[in-house]
Amino acid sequence: MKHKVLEVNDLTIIYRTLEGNVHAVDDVSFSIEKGESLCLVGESGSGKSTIALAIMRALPPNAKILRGEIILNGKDLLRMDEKEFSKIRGKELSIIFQDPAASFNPLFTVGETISDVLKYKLGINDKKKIKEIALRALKEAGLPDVERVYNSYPHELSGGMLQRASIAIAISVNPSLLIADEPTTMLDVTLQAQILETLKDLKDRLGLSILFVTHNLGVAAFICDKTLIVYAGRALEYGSTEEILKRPLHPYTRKLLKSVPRIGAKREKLPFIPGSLPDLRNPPRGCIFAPRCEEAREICFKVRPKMLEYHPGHYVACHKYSEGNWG
Amino acid sequence: MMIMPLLEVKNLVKYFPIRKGLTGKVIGYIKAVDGVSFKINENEVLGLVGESGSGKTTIARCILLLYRPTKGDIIFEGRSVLTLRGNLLRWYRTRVQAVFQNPFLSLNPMMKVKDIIAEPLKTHRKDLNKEEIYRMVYDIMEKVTLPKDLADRYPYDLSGGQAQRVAIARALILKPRLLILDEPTSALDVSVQAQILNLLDDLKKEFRLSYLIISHDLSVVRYISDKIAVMYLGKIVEMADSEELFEKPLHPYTQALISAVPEPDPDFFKSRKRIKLPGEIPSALNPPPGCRLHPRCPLKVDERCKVQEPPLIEVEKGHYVACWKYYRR
Repeated sequence: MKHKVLEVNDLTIIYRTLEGNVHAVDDVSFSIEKGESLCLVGESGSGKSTIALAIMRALPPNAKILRGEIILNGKDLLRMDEKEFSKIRGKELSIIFQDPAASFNPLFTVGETISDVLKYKLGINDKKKIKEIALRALKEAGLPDVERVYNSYPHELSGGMLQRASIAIAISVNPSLLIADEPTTMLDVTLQAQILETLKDLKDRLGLSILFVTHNLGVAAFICDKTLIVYAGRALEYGSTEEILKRPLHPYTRKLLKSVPRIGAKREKLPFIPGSLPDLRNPPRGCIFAPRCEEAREICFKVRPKMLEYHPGHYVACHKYSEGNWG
Repeated sequence: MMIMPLLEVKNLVKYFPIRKGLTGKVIGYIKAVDGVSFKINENEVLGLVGESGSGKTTIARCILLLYRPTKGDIIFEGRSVLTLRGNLLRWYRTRVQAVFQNPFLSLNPMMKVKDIIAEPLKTHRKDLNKEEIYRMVYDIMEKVTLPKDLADRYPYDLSGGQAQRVAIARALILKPRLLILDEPTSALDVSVQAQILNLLDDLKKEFRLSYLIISHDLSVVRYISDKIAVMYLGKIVEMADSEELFEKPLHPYTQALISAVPEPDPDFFKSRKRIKLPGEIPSALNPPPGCRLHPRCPLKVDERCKVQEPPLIEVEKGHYVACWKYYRR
C-alpha cells in the first residue's frame, strides 16, 4: 500500500457568529498519497477554503473544529501543541494563495523573503548556501533570470512571476504537502495554463503531493488525480478525476458540469441549478442538496445519505445509488 | 442600402500620460488603446476578449464617456457622441447603459433594491409620478426574474446572482439600445453564471438589445456573442463571427488564447495541442515596434514583423486579421 501523506477524517467545523453557528464543514473525509494531487472542487460557500485553512491551522478565531482528525505523515495536527506544529508549518506543509501580491511583504525583496524561510524553517545559516537553494527553487518554479527576480521587490514583478516566486518559496523547503488555494484564479488564461503546467511538472518530477482548492472543473481536469466535490460544507462525490468528469454520479456534479459553457460545444441554453445555497446556520435535515435537486424524493428530505462506494474507488453520497432506499 | 450601425467606434486612441515630479512633466504615455475600430449593429452582440492590460475596459469607458479619447470618434445612431451637450448628452446616457463585474460594488448598500432600480428613472424621467415609477420597477424585476419580495431588501441580503440581476434591471429600466457588459459573470459561480448568461440572451431577443460584452473568459464570450474581437496590447488582432473565430482562428495570439482554456474533460488535455506564447504581455508604456506580438510569436518572425505594423485586413468575408502571414498583395 502506498504511503498516505495526508488523511482527513470526519472533519467538522463551525463558525460561531452572532446569528448562530454556521456549519461550514460537516463530516468531510479524504486522503492524499505521496506524489498524488487532490482537488477540492466547490462553489463559494462550499467550505473548500475552510478545509485548507484547517489543515494549515490558520482558521479565524471564531471557527471551532468540533470533530475529526487531520493526519499528516502519521501525526494528528489537531492534537499537537503550537510549538510542535510550528516545526511543521512552512516546512512539511506549505501553501500558496490566490493573490500572490498579498502573500509577500512589500518591503522585502523576494530573495530576503525566501532566505528568511530557509533560515528559520530549515535552520540554514550559511548565506551562500541559502542563496544557492533559493536560486534553484526560483528556477524550478519556471522563472527566467532568477538573479534579477531574487533582487526584486514584489511590486517590480508581474502577477504571474510573483505567483511563481511564491511557488518557489513553497517548494524550497521540500514539503510533504503543498496546499494550493485557487492559485490561478486571478491570472489570465494563458498565464494560468503556464502556472498549471509548472505545478504539474513539479508534481511529476519531485513527487510533490498537492491539495488543490478550486472552483474550476477545467483546472481540476488538468492537474488532479483525484477530486472531492464539496457543496455547502459536505462532501458529495469522491473519486478519480477522470471517473468523476466522465461518469459523474451525484445530481449536483452532473448539473455543475453541464452548466459550464464550453468552447467546443453547440450554442444552446445552458442548464443551471435553480435556487441558492441552504442556510448553513440551520442546514436541512436530509441531503444538503435536496432542496435544489430535481431528482429528490421523500427520503432525501428526511435521511442524510452516507458516502458509499458505488464503483471501485468512486464514492457518492446520494440515496439514488443505495439499493433499497430508492424504490 | 447599407444599414446604419447602432454604434461605430472609429480609430479610437486612448493614451494615459505618466507624469513625474512636482511640475507634473509628462515623461511618457501608456498606450492603452491604440487605434481600434468596430461596429455594432442593432440586436447584435460583440464580444471583446483579451487579457489584462489589453485595453478592453478602456474602450468601454470611452464609450460610456467616462474617459475622453485621445483621438478617434464614437458614433451612436449617426451622431458623434464626443461633442454632445445638454439634452442630447442626457439622451445618449439613457440609450447606453452599463453592467459591471462586481454587483456589490456597483449597488449602493444604503438603498433598497426597488430604489436602486428606480434611480435612473428619477434622474431621467421627471415626468413620471411615484406610482408609475414603481410599477415600472416591478415590471422590470419580473423580466429579470427577481422575486417581488426582494424589492424592499438591501444589497447585502442578496446572493451574487440576484445582485447582478438588480444591476441588469437598473440598466434596462430606461429601455436603452446598447448595454455595455464589463465582465458581467466573472464574480459569479458557474451555476449562477449560466443563469445570467441565459437571461442576457433572452433579454436581448425580447428588447432587441445590442451588447458589447467584455470578458477574459472565451467560453463565456463565445456563448453569447455574434461577433468577437480579440485584443492584444491596445489593438484588435482578429475579428470574426463567433463560430468562425473558434472554428478557424487565424491569428497566432487567438490560437494561443483558445488553446489555453482548461475544459472539464480529461480527454481534452490528451488531444489538445497547446500553442505556447513565451513570457508575458509587455507593458503598454513601451509596446514592441512592428507587430506587437512579434517577441512572443510562435510563428516564424521575419524582418517585416519587427518593423512594420500589420494592418487589420479582411481575409475572408467578415473575418479580419492583423498578421503579415495572411497579407497578400
